[in-house]
Amino acid sequence: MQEVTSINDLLAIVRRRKFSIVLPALTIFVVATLTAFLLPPTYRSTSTILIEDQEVPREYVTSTVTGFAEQRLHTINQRIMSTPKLLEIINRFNLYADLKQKKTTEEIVAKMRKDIKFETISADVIDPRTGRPTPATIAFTLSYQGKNPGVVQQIANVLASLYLEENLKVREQQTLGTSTFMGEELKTVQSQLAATDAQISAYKQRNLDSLPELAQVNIQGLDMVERDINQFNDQLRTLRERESNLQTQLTGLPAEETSSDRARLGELKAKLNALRTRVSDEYPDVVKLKVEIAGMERQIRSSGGDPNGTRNENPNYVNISAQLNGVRAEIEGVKRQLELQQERKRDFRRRIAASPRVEEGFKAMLTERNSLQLKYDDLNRKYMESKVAHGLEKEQKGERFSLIDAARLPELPVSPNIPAILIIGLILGIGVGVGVAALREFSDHSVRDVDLLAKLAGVPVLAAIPEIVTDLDRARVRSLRLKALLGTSVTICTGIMVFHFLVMDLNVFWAKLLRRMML
Amino acid sequence: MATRLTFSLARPQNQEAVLVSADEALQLSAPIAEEFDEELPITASEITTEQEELPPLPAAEAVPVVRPKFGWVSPQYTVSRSVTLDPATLAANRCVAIDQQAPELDAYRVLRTQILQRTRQGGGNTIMVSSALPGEGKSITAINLALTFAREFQQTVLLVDCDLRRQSVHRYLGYESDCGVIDYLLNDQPVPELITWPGIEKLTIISGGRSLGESSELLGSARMKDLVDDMRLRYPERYVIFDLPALLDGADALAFAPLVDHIVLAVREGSTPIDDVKRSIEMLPQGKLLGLVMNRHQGPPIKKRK
Repeated sequence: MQEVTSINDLLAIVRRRKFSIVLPALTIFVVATLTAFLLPPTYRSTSTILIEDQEVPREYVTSTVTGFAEQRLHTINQRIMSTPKLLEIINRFNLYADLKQKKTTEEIVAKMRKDIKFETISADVIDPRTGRPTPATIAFTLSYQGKNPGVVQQIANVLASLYLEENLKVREQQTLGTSTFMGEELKTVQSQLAATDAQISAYKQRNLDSLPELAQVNIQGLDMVERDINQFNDQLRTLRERESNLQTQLTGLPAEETSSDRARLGELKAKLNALRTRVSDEYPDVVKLKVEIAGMERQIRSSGGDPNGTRNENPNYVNISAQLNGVRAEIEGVKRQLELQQERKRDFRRRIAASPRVEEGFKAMLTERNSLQLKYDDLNRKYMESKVAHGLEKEQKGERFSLIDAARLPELPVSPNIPAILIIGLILGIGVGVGVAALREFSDHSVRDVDLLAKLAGVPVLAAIPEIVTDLDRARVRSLRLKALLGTSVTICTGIMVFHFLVMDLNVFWAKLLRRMML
Repeated sequence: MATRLTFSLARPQNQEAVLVSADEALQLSAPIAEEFDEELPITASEITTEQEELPPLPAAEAVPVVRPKFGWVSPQYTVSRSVTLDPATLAANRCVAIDQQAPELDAYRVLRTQILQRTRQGGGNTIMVSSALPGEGKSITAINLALTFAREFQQTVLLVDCDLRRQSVHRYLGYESDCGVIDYLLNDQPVPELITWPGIEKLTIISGGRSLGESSELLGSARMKDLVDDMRLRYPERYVIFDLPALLDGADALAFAPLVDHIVLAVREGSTPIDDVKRSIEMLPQGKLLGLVMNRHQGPPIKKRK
C-alpha cells in the first residue's frame, strides 16, 4: 500500500489488481444478467377512466353531489381497497394461488393492494370563480400487475368496472339521500303549517265580530244604527204631538150619557163592596143587594148594553178616542224599536273597542304562519330540485366516470427491467470490483516502490532486480491461457447444448429474448 | 578460539595443508532431516512456480575450458571437485547471470557495483544474503550475485550455502553434491574437500550434503565463527557470499549475522510487508546492513543513485 500520486500509480494498481477488479465485476454482472432473464416477468394492465362533467349545464340543474371528484375518488378507493372486496376478487379469480399456502390472508390482501396502482391525472383548469388556474383531477388510471397477462387484463377491467359502479352507487345514494331528506323536512313543515292554519281559524271563530277585517263593517253598522235611532226619535216626537192633539179634541167633545140603570148598577155595586168590607155574604142586605144587582144587569143586557162598559153614544167622541188609541199603540212600537237600536249600538261599540286586541293576536299568528309558508316554499323548491338532480343521476347525465381506455392485454412485461438490471449489474460489478481492489490494495502493506521502501526502511535499496522470466514461465503462462480459453469455450458450448436440449429450444429462446429486450 | 582450522581454497600453484581440529565442546544432536517436503525435486519436465526449484542434472560432464583472459590467469582447481554447469538448466532455474545477454544482468551489475563501492569503503569481504521472509529469492540473488562478482577481474568469489536445513544452491546450479558446511561443522571434513568448482572462473561453491534440524546453534557456534574468520582473513581479494535462511524464519540468520561484515537483504516486490522488512532491519546488528535488493521488480529499472 502506498500513496497514489500520479495516474501511473493508479494504472499500476489497476494492472496489479486486475483480477480483483474483473472477477467480482464479472460475477456480479453474470448474476445480474441471470437474474434479469430468469426473474418471472410481471405484466401490468391499465385502464384509464375519465371524470366527465354533467351533461346538463349547472345553470339548469344543480347536482346535489358536491365536493371534489378527487375526494370522492379517494372515498371510493378506500371502499374498493377494503379487505372483503379484494378478498372477493381474489377468490373469484383465484389469484395468488401460489401464496395461499405460505401466507396469511392479510398478507395476500396487502400484496394485492400493492399490485393495484391508482393514479390521478390532473390538469390545470381555470377556476371560473377565482379566474386562477387550479389543478383539477380530470381522469385517473387503474392498473394491476401480475404474472399472467390474461388474468392481469381481466382484473384491471374488473377493478375499473367496480370503480364505475361504486361511483354511480355513491352518487345515487347521495342524491337519493338528499331528496329523501328534503321530502321528510317538507312533510314536517307541512304539518306545522296545517297546525298553524287550524289555530288561526279557531281564533277567527272565537273573535269573529272583532276581527280587524270587520272593523269597517262595524263602524258602518254603528253609523246606521245611530241614524235609525235619530229617525225613531223623530217619529216618536210627531206621534206624541198627535196624541196631545187628539186628547184636547176629546176633552172638548160632550161626555157620553150614562144610563140610570147603569148608574144604579154602579151605585149598587159600590154599596155591595162597602157592605162586604163589614159583613159576610150571608148578611141579608148583601143578599138583597146581590139580587138587585143581578136584576139590574139582566135589564141592562136585555136592553142591548154592556153592563160593565159605558155606552158612548157620541160617534165623534168614539172616532177620536179610536185614533188616540192607535197613536198610543204606535208610540209603544217606536219605543220598542228605539230600545232595540240602542242595544245594537252598544254591541257595535263593544266590538270596535275589542278590535285592536284581537288584531294583535291575529297578527302574531299570521306572522308565524307566513314564515312557515316561506320555509315551506323554499323547501319545496329544493325538494323539486333534488328530485331533478336524482333524476339526473338516475339517467346518468350527471358528472360521471367513463372508461376511455379499457385495460388491454399486456404484451411486454413491465418488470424485470432487463436493461436497467444489466446496467445496474454492470455498475455495481465495477464498483464492487474497484472496492475489492481498493480494499486489497489498502490492506496490502507489501513493498512496491523502491524509493518508498528506502524511505520507510531507512536503508538504501541497492538494486531492483526485474522479474526473471524463464522460457518455462512463458510456456506455463501460454498453456494457462490456452487452458482457460479452452475451458471457457467448452463450458459455454456445453452450457448452450444443455440449455438447448434440456431447458428450451434455442430458436424459441432467441425469439423470447428478442421479445424481452424490446423496450 | 580453541579451534584453528586452515584450509586451502583452490589457488593456482598453491596447495596448502588443511589443519582441522574438532571442537570438543560442540555436542550436537544432528538428526539428519531429510526435509524435502517443501521442496520437490525438480526435473526438466516438472517445475512448480512457488517452490524453489530443484534444477535438473547436467547432461554431460565437461572439462572446464580454460580461457586466457586479460590480466587474469584462470586458476586450476585441483583439489576441488569440478563440475560442469548446463546453461539451459541454469536459465530454467533463473540463474541468469551466467548468460551475457540476460536482460537482468544490468541490474545485478548495479547491485555488484553498489556492494563493491560500499565494501571497499569499510573493508570486509564477507557478505551474507538473507531476507525477511522465506521465498523472496535469497538463493537466486546470492547465486546471481556470485556469478556477477566472478565476472569482475579483481576478486574471486566463494559462495557458501548456509541454509543448513535445506541445501539448495547446488540444486539451482544443477549438480550433485554430497557434502557441505555441515560436514565441516560436525564431521571435521576439511574445507577444500567441500569446495566445488563449477567451471566458472573465479567462482567456487560450498553447497550440498545433509540437512539438519537444529541449525541455528551450529551457525552460531565457534567453529562456524572460525570458519568465517578464516575465510575472511585468508584471501582479502576474495569475496565470500553466504546464503542464509530468512531472518523471520528461525534464528539461523540472526545467529549468523554477527559473524559477517556485511549483510544484504532481499525483498520481494509486492509480497514482503514493509513492517517485516523494518523488523528484520531492527534485528540486524547496526552498520552491517549494506542495503536491500528488490527482487521481482515490475516497474522500470531504477537508476543507480549516488
